Amino acid sequence: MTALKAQSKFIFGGAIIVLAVGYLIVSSIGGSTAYYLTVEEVKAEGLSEHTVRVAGTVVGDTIEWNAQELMLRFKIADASGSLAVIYHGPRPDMLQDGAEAVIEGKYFEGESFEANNLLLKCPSKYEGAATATAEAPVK
Amino acid sequence: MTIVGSGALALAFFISACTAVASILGARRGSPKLVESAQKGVVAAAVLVTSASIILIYLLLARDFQVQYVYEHVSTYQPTIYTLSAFWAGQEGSLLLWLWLLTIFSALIARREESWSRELKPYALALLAFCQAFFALLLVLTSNPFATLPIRPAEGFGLNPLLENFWMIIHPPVVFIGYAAYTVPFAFAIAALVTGKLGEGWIRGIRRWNLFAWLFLGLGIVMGAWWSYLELGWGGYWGWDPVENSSLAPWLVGTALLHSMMIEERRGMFKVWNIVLITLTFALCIFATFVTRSGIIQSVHAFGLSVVGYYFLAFLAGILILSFGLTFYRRRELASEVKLKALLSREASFLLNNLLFVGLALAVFIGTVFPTISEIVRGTQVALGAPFFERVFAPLSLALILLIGVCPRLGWRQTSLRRLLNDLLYPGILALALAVAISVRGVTEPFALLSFTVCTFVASSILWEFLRGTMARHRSTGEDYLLAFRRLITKNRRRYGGYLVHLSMVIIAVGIIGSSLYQTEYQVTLAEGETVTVKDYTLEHEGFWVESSPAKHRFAIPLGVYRDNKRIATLVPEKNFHWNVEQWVTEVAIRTSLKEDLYVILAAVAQDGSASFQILINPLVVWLWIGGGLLLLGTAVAIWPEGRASSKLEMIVGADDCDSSERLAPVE
Repeated sequence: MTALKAQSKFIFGGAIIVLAVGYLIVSSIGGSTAYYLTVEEVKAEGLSEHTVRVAGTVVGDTIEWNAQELMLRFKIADASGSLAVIYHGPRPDMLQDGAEAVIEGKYFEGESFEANNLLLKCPSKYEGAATATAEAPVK
Repeated sequence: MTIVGSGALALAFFISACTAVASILGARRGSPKLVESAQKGVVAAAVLVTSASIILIYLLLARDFQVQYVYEHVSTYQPTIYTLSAFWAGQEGSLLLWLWLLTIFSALIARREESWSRELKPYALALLAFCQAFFALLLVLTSNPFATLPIRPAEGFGLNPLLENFWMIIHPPVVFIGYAAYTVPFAFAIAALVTGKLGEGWIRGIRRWNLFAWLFLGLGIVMGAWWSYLELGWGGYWGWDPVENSSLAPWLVGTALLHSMMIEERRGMFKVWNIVLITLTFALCIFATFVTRSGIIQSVHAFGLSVVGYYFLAFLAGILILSFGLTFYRRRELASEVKLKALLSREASFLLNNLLFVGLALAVFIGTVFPTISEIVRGTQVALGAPFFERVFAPLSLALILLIGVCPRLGWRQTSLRRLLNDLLYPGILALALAVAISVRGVTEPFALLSFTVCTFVASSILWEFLRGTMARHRSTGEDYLLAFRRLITKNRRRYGGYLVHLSMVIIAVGIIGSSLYQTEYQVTLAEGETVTVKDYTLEHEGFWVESSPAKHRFAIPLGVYRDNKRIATLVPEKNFHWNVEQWVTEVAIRTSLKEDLYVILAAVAQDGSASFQILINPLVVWLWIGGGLLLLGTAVAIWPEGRASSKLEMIVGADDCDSSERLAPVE
């Protein structure tokens, strides 16, 4: 076997692996993206087809916490309006009036936003890890 | 005091900058005096930064609230250990820690005389001093830990309650040791490129530094996961958060590097590739510091963009241009000495290993910067969630684990297929037997079945290797089994240390697979005296504790845990209101066993003392931490200097890490 031929075997094999890994990455991006939308955009789009993320501020007096069923309802507001959110799971420690929230989930038209992920930052000017994520159990 | 601290940092910047220049000039002009003065400069910088760090420690312990950093992270009522760990709780302190570690490593290099590094050292020190100057400048200009407040507050804000955890005391320094230590291999790579001394000397010389950095980064990641599991209270240990990701990426590339360096050391191949990997590892370490501290990417750990980010971007660009520019300049000297020949060879399997690790690192990197990139390119932020990472990681890591089982059985140059199959026969049979056994017991999900089978196969092939080696040694030397086993390892530290690390990876993988595929979750509300049964456990609500302290208002509910009518534990989940951050912090309670963790989160407490809980059963989680311990042990074995008396003999025999499989492998 000539040296060149032996080398081409590796270049070919390596290229296949690179392509396979590349394909895996690109194809995985497809189903996992979550667009950041404003409240207005969420409502304009209606029933979400994919997971979306919305950033806003928690409106304190809308927080309703059902401890029996571990169900949480609250509203978040941004410059374009406010959005009712439902979340199942323990109440995150940082959920309070004025907290900056990023919610991830789907909007059901005429109803509310079903969040399966809450990312919260507490309102105090506190650096670093004074934030927490909460994740709803995957059904 | 604060003026002395700031002054020490400013002087450290000045000296480091001068040192970098002097070191290069000295080496260029062949002036030993100049080179020597540069070495002294490095030591001087280390002394200065150490003094600054000690001053900060003193200010923290003295609770001098006039210093802004102390005010923000310390209070009079927090335990002293957290007053100490406040050192790395904020941006200023973390950057100082980085610099401190870096100057210590540089001083060690400056003081150490080794034949392989004689010509490289001035340039390596110049690069290290340059990095020191960067961090010192950053501290002086943007994040001075010694900045003072106009008044002296009577009480400090105190440490963020989430950081009040054992692992948070040691996790940040451990990770930073990893980051800072990766500067050393990079510095020598640049030095080798500049001087053109691109033989195997430098690769061999940096091996230990590289392992050291890799170990600390890896341990740091495991500790961070442990902290997250104990403290963040959502039942998991890894959230694909940008800060977590950005520490994982350099570790993945560093793992690829560990392997491909071996190839260069032994076969003179992969030279350009190694330089690229070293550069990427270091660049990703800087990137990780940047992500944590600049807030460019939204994360649990960091919010709010700060000016530090621009400095980091400029520094990163400088590193990459320097390294890739020099590599291009030296491209002829970097040609491989030999070519790859056979598919069934260790070289080829390392190539595959490298492609997979770099692929994983690339995926982590893409996933982390995706929102930022998409905002720049398309104007809207698009995030990539956990499913993205899981989809990429599941198949690729499984492939890597399979490689762990096969690779070490391949000899250098070429191995015959028959020999390979022969080696893998028993582990294969064992794995298939286990697959049948667990599928009968109800593990039927294809991915779980496949991955557990692969893990068993790999683990047993590693253990088989230990067994075979011990038996062979026992037969040839007549040592008893225990001694033969010990000598087997101590006489071939690199090889068997590596196997232990491999085993630790398999163990960690088992923990990850079990806990991510088989987590079960229950939600219950209990009044005092009521019980609930989840899986094999019965939990009883045993009362209600309330207490108030200067730090927090504490609500805790002790739960008696019974299994088979026997009391096995008392779990006390808590919900505490911390005055300083004005919010609730949930403290989970966990009962750990080898089989599974019972993880209880107190979700809510009502007026009458009844409470809602979220109860999780996380199978096999503890194996993650056990794997972390074995990772430490295995790397320590591999990194430990060979015994002097034996090493000469071993070198003559060539048994260092060139193992029996090489000597036995048929060479064509």
